[in-house]
Amino acid sequence: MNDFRLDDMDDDFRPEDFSATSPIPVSSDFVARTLARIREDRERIAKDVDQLEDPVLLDASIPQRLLNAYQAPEPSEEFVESTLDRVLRDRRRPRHRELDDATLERLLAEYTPPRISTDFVERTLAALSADSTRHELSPNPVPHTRRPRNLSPASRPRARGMSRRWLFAAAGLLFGLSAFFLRGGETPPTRAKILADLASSSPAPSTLHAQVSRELRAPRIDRPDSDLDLMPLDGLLVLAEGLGGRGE
Amino acid sequence: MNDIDPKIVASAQRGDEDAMRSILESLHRPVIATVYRFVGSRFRADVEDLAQEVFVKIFRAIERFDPERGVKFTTWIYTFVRNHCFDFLKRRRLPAISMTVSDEDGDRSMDVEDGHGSQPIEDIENTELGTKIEEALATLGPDQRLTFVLREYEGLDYAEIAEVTGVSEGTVKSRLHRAKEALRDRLSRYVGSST
Repeated sequence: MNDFRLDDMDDDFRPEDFSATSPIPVSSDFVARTLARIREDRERIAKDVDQLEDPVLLDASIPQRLLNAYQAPEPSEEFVESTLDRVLRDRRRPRHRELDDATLERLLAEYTPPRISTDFVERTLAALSADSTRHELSPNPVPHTRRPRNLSPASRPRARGMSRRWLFAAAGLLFGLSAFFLRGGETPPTRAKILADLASSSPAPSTLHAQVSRELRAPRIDRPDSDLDLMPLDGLLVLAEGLGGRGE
Repeated sequence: MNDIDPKIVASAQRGDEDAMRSILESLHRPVIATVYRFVGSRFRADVEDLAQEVFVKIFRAIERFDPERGVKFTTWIYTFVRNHCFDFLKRRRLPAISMTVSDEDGDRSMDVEDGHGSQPIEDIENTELGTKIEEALATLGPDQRLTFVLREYEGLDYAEIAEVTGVSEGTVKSRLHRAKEALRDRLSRYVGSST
């Protein structure tokens, strides 16, 4: 049973907390009045149904001759053809084009690209390190295509640390530049502005990302920047680190 | 109303043009009539456009129609008619159907002008009655009016109307009863002379 019971509630919760947080004052007799109204409505419907099913009353219904006098207009001869034509044209039209350019610009301006967490980078680097160690320890190591650098054992950790720092810096720069150009060279809108715009705009915040993602995935042949194929930044980072790791 | 052959619906769902044409040919009259009776003669010029928009929406969504749900295709169609007409009137912030003012005794002369001069008496009477019915329907709330139109003109049963309007069958019966009561009251002169 999924029924919610008062016993299941948190001990700290008090029902009066609801009214304390409610922005609208609720009168004390609200529930009683609502129940009375529901009861009244149900009684009225039951009474109406009884009357409607009464054969005497049914006979006294509106005469058909009278109803027939209210005629609807005859459809025009070309209605079917013109409607079919419109339907077919509509079906050929890609759905994503319904979003006009102004709306698209606004959505893009509000779109915040996902950020790469430091935790993700750390975990990925750790996984790559472990992987490269495994390669080194394996009895049949995979031959490297690049010539290994001649580093003394003592200098290896330091060199690895240096390369990581460079990679972090490069990834950060790439990420920042991509986000900047994605927004059309403008600085990101403030949180307050985004919230204000969202409140006054039609798309719900929960659908915003989905809409933008859909738009970004859809081919926009007529857009001059449509060939801007953004490589996923985290993928780039992993790739760079992987190449670097193999090189070490 | 007879439902559309499920095979034709399935073909239309796959984008078959002939199937779409067949659906259009079968349903355009009842759709136009329902739209007209719901929005009223004031929007007579818009009725075909509205019906066309309804069909565009229907064929956009036709893949979502699931016969396994046990809802007839024609019933499903009327949900689009209802929603589109409600939206149309809401956009214009107008009640459904025009509220033409009648004389106190309900005997306002109808708009029989030059064009009707050569009409047979019976046609003129029907036109007058039609105007009176439209005026009477205009006094109903939109839900009562739609319920009445779907039941009396389109022949939907209570369960189908409940599906279209999203209420229980009991509520449908209640609305219908209230609508008939109000119409009988308003059309008492004509109801009496017709029976």
